[in-house]
Amino acid sequence: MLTHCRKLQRDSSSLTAIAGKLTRVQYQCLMEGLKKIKVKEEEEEEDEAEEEEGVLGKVYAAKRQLVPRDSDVTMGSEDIPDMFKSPAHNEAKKGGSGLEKPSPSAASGLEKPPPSGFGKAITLFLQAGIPTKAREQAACSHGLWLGKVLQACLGKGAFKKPASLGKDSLGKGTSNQRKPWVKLRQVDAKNTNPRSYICGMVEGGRMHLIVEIIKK
Amino acid sequence: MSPHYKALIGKIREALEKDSLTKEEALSMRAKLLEKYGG
Repeated sequence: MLTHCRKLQRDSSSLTAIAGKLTRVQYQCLMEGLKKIKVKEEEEEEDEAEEEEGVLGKVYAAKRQLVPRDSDVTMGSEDIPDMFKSPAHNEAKKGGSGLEKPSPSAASGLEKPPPSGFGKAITLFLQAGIPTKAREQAACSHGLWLGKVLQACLGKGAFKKPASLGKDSLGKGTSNQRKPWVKLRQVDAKNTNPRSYICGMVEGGRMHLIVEIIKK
Repeated sequence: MSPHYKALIGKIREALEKDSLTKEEALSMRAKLLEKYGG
């Protein structure tokens, strides 16, 4: 019966011969029945295909082997992937605490040679926050001009003028020692306002004005 | 002051030559002399 129905469903020409003998309602019932048969067939075909695929899949799965591979994304202890952590944190994790100083051998590439020459003078000058005689002398021996330049830039009074060029040369400094005037000169200006200047020079010094006297 | 102008200069210069006065001392001496001779 099923074979006959399937034959009817496959051959549309045999249906035309039957359609003439059946009424409209009967024909519709027949078509519905045939449709059901077709669905069943299709289901069977789908089941068969699934079965075949399942068998093949099992065979393929049996043949396939998983290869272990290291993943870059690893979860850290704080539930954050390690790749999102800051480099400092990673370094700290690698080399212990981040506050540890690098070993001298490790930092040999960044090490600077001990300063010499001008570098030493700069170092001495910068160290000389409070000027002491030893620091001044050491810095002066490495270049007084550099100290003056730095003094002008930084505005620090680490360096002083030499005593020979200071105020004492004119006798107006702190020391009460009188130095004899090697040369005394008097200049009289008589143009509009009569006045006189007395200039003097001490040994090893230059000519400076000592006193001005204005005629009133 | 004008009559004593020359005398004042002479005194200061003499003190500078003999006593080797410093600049400070010379200025203070001038101030004293100016007070004395009508400054």
